[in-house]
Amino acid sequence: MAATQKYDAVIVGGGHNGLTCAAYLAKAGKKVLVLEKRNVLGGAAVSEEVFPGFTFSVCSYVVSLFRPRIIRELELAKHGLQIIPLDCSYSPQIDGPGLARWGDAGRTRREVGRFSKKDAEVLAEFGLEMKKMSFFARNIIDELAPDPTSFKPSELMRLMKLGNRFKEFGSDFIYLHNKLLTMSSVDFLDMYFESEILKAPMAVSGIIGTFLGVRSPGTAYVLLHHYMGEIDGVFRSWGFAKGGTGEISMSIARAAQSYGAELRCGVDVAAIKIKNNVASGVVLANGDEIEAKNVISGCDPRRTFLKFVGEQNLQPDFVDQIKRFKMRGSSGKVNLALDKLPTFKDGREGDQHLRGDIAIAPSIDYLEKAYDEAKYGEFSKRPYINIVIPSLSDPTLAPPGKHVMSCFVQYAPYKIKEGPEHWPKLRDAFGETVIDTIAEYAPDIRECITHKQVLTPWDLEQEFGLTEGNIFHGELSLEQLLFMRPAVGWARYRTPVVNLWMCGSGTHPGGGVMGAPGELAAKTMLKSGEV
Amino acid sequence: MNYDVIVIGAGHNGLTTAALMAKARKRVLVLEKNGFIGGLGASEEICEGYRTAGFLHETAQISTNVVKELELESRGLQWVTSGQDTGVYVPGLNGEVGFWLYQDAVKTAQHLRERLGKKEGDAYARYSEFLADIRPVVQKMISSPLPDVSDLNLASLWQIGKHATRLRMLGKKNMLELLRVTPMCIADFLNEFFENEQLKAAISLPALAGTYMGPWSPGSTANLLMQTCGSNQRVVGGPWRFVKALEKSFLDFGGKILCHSHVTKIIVENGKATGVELASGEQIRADKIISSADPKTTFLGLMAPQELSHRFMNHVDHIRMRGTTAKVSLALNRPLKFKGNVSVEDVEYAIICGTVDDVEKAFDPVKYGELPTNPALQVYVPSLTSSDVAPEGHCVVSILVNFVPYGLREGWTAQSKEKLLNNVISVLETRAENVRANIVGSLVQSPLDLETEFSITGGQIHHGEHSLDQFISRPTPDTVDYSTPIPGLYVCGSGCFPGGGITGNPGYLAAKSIL
Repeated sequence: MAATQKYDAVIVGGGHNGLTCAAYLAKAGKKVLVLEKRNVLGGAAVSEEVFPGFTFSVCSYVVSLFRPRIIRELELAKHGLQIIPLDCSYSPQIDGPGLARWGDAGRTRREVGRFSKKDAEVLAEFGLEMKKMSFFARNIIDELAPDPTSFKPSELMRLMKLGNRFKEFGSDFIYLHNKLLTMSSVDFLDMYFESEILKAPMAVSGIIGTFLGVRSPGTAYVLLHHYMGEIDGVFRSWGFAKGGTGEISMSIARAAQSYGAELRCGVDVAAIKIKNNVASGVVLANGDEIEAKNVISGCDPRRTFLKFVGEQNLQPDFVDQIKRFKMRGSSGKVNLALDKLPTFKDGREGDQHLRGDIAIAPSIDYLEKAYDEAKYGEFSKRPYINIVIPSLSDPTLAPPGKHVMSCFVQYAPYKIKEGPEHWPKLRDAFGETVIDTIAEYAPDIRECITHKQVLTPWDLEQEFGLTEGNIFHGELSLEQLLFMRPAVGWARYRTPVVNLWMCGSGTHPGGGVMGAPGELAAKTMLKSGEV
Repeated sequence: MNYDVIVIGAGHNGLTTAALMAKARKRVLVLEKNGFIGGLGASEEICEGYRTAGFLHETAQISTNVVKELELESRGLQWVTSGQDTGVYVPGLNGEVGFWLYQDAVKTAQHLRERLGKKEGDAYARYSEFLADIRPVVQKMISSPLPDVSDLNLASLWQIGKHATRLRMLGKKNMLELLRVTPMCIADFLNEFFENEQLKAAISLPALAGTYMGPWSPGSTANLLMQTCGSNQRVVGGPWRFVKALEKSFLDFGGKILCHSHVTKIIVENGKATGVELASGEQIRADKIISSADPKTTFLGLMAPQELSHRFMNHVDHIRMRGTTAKVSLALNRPLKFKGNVSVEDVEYAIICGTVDDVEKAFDPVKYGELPTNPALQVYVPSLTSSDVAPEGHCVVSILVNFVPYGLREGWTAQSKEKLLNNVISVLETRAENVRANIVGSLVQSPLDLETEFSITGGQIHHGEHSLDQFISRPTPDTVDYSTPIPGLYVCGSGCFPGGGITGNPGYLAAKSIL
């Protein structure tokens, strides 16, 4: 079929970053087309009615790092975005009382004090330190990655500015920052706390989505995650989007449409059209071609370059970099439809403690053993599970009195011993392991379940296009961040192919429902004047 | 008699600092708790007639600056020439003939081409080419004091600037490569070059020994780079010969060593360190007190808490010192013979390991306070070149066992040491012939024994785990220049930059900085 109208940009992938990028470009008056393979927009930030009456945030399930600037600039509230703060983090134990940490600091202190007086006292100091750190870290995620190799005055200025901000925080801050950047979550928390029941659920925020254990160096930095979340400008809050995480994507989509962007679902891109190292559009799986002045990929770097672009169109050196970009998926997801709430063993009254996230992370050794199994190619027999029951705070997600329960499960290595393609055979066993594990804490869970959906890393890859099931489009390890994401020297959304850009989580500042890569990519393109 | 300087501890770093101070015409006294000098480089008796050549083995990282300035070559220190280098033998998984890793990269690459195929040999050549490219920069970095990154004043900025300029001098490609690979885990880094699992495991083990990291732990590549880039030829006769040469040099420059002199307290008067007190109650005064003990022993063990600020104590308290190394020394009544008809003379050093995952599996139990069933071993046979460690025709096998927890859950008892000894012999016997039947004596030193015998907190052989965060401000931000918050008190041990191992580097940098 002949080429249709010409666009300023065609965006491959209608995930939240692709949509954010589209919205910014359209807002600036560009003619933009977004192509999504699935029949629903949102990518991994998606809400779907998986079972009649039960709507799940199928993949990503909480909001924390989504940039407030994007909410403001794209007027997402006007387009229906509503965020319900998450008030509690509950970590049950098999025998004995669990720990609930609340939005209210005093209440948390009292809970922690039941296990350790010292920890209760240190909690406030720790929170303050973390808050200071995250103030600094925001400078990094809200701006372009620095380029330490460039001698250009503007780049040197950028580095100096960053160094200066660093310096302003003072020497104790710098000392701690260096520790945070390189230590393991457990070692870092050990500097403050003594009780396992507190440290274990805190430490897990350092490993989510990585193929590392809580004792692996480099995991401490991600602890900040918990302290960096901003919702409506309020620090340290996590939340659910009303209607599920997909509503974030949908509100961005509505904003994009209001600015004139065109969004198409069910369109499978097979390749990016490249001639003489210049991208000029995309070829669809059905053979159709769409021409555009620029092509922007919201997909992960492996998919973008090895599938859509093709090795033959790239320098071998660059291909090597993309091939060794680590994408080892390590997590799965189990979504359960419940006809009543399960009862956790420690006998807390009411359901208030179940309204936030529930972490199955009883001890550090438990978490580390879960990792040790995964290292050798097995899914954890007793995994870390992060459970949310968003229907408690958003009744629109399930029929009256019934609930949706979403379980994020780690570790489930993509490269299972038998080979990733064997995951479908192991899917049931994996789902059962998860339910068995939960049953140790909430024995009546099986009676509550009416339906279940089990997503292995293999499924995440096949269904959502996440290579190797990596939820962040590439591991967030030090050597894959900043100017090295996704390839050394290509951290500014450009690619070696002229007029081909990237805007997904595989670019700076990385994964999570943050929107920053999409935003920064769009702003970079607009500033360059090339789009 | 009055001294200018007292050095606490006669380990190789203490002796290095002491000798350099003595050479600068200071009156120096070294106080050693044990009845012998050398610390982890000391020769110890296994049983009558058999001795080790040091707790540690590796002498390839000995600083050439130390050797030159203290004129150690004229005092008995002898480099192994590249013609004499027998390399490190890595026996095959099932006892078949494996391969050797030599100090000479070209020779190793050629050897690996023959033993493991062209691909691995070429990969080794590429690998060592990268290391050779970054070597001058890394070497410069580990032979200059750390900039104080937490106090960004003009002087430290100048220091940082110098390091940054050196980095940039590498050229864009190598500089970015260095920045990229440093925080990586060894397994990923080596996977970019090699396919042979045992080759990767053998390269990784020396960099992991003594750390609280397995090959899959991020940041372990930094250790590998520092170690390999700081590596030259080995010395004949092991660490003990280095220690003896240092002692001779120190004595020649007029220094004095007192053994059996256990320092129990650093005397601080009016906020200044003025002397030390021994277990006997005797007090000895000096202008400068330099401690080669680990930072926790120095600041938390030898000082009264009121002398130090809360903040500083906190920094010291947070230094991680979890020992993971044990030592098994065997006295055999015949030479150690590896299977596959490998000539006895060809194995002075050996690494016994399986795949990368096997090394990781040897590390896993440490985290839970358990003994490894299949430990990875670094073997050294000092009797091959030193006739004074064993009767003729007999042999001493010195084995560093990775990984063994200081905090063994079942506790360190005679039984647990026996169990460890058995595990080690079983592993050794998969590669060497008839070990058990020929043992005439053995010595097992757990991390706890190390702590008791050498006063190293946690039995941590590096005086502070080697990890990225503990390199950035080693040992604490206030002591990166080897001075301490107490005027007159200095540190010079492995707990300082650039860390542990038989190198003499911290001792050297400390002396330079103090002088």
